[in-house]
Amino acid sequence: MIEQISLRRYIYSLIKKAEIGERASRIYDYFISAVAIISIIPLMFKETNALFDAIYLVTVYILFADYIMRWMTADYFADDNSHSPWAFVKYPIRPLAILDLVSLLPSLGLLHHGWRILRMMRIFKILPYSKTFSYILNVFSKQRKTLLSVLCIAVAYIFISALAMFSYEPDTFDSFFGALYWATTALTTVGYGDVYPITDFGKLISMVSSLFGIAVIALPAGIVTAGFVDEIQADVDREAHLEAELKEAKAEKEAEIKAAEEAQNEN
Amino acid sequence: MKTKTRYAIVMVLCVLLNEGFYTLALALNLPVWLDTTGTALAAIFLEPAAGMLVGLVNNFYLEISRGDASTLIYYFVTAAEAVIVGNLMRKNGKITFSRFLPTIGLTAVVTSVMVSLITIWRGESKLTFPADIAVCDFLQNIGFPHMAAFFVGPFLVKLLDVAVQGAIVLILCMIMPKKLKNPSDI
Repeated sequence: MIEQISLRRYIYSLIKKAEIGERASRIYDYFISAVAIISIIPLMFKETNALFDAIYLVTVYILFADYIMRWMTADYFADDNSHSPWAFVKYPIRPLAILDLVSLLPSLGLLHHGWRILRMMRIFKILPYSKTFSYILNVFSKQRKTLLSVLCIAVAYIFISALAMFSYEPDTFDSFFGALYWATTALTTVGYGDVYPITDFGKLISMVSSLFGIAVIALPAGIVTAGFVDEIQADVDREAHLEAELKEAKAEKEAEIKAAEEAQNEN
Repeated sequence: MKTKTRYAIVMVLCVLLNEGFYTLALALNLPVWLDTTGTALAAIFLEPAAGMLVGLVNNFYLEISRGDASTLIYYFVTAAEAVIVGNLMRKNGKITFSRFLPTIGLTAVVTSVMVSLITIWRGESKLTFPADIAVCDFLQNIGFPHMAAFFVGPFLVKLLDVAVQGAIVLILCMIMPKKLKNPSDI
């Protein structure tokens, strides 16, 4: 009999997110997360040296190889598991694949040196392995309509505040963009203090818009926090439910074995 | 021999073949690269994914030896070659030598176009490979416009490169020990 193996299936089993008992896959997950973190270390220093150059070369290669291997096994990663050739066409336009590629492009000489900031996006590589990230992703997915509405209100409020201030104190700002910058920093309570109202009425506008604005700006934080807590609770409930089911199944099996043993003894 | 062992041996051999032929072509000043011979062989002998992995290892070696990651993008050309050769050269799981010429033609066209596009994207308007420069100059001397010569010159050299590699792969397919061959090809 001919022994058949598929190299792609083997690669897929290695690079996919590890499940319970998949040791090699788990080691790969840790490895690729570590590489993603190490790859951004040289960005934290102004000057480079031989060690940083080596880190840069090797990590770029490993992340590039990971990207290629994920593309190579795209049909295994597809949600419908149909192994359609279209999976290979669709793979590069998946959000995480785009992030992977964009973070690598500056190193591949395809973008100007100024775009090297995109290298920091390699940190997103570790997100799929994070449980917390999946909670947050679920919250954004479930609350997207509410969050979008709040975002629209916040943007509109910033715009109106900036417009009011710019109309009353045009000399304080170089342009309307400056007023927008002031409104955003003031309403988000950042307040750098580089731009501020001079007249009393301008200060009044600032006080009123800040008082109401802080409530508008705080809304998304509340929605996300509430959703996050719900997600954690749902996960805890799910695990408890699974554990209870497992216990029940174990008890049933033990009872069956006991009944079989008793029946055997009686015979 | 176990399939896993056969895969490992053939893939290591193919990596060495890539490096060996590339070094030979450079040493003899040949107008070809021959650096994907092993990649094509692995793609035909095993599967396209094996060819892609062999190419990946060779690109890593190239990257480390040059100390520059910017050439890594040319890996996509190697990958395309592995996919085309590995899929076209097999029919119903068997190597089909009658598909040799169409495979060479398609590989040359696709890889040349890819190399040209990447070169333009990277803003490298000058050719660096001596054979490319010679053919490009010749074409310009006989009246080709500059841009046309820039594309056709490297394409002709690539066509020659793919044809020579194809011939080498064909010979290697014939002389490869039976133990390393796919059971369906024996």
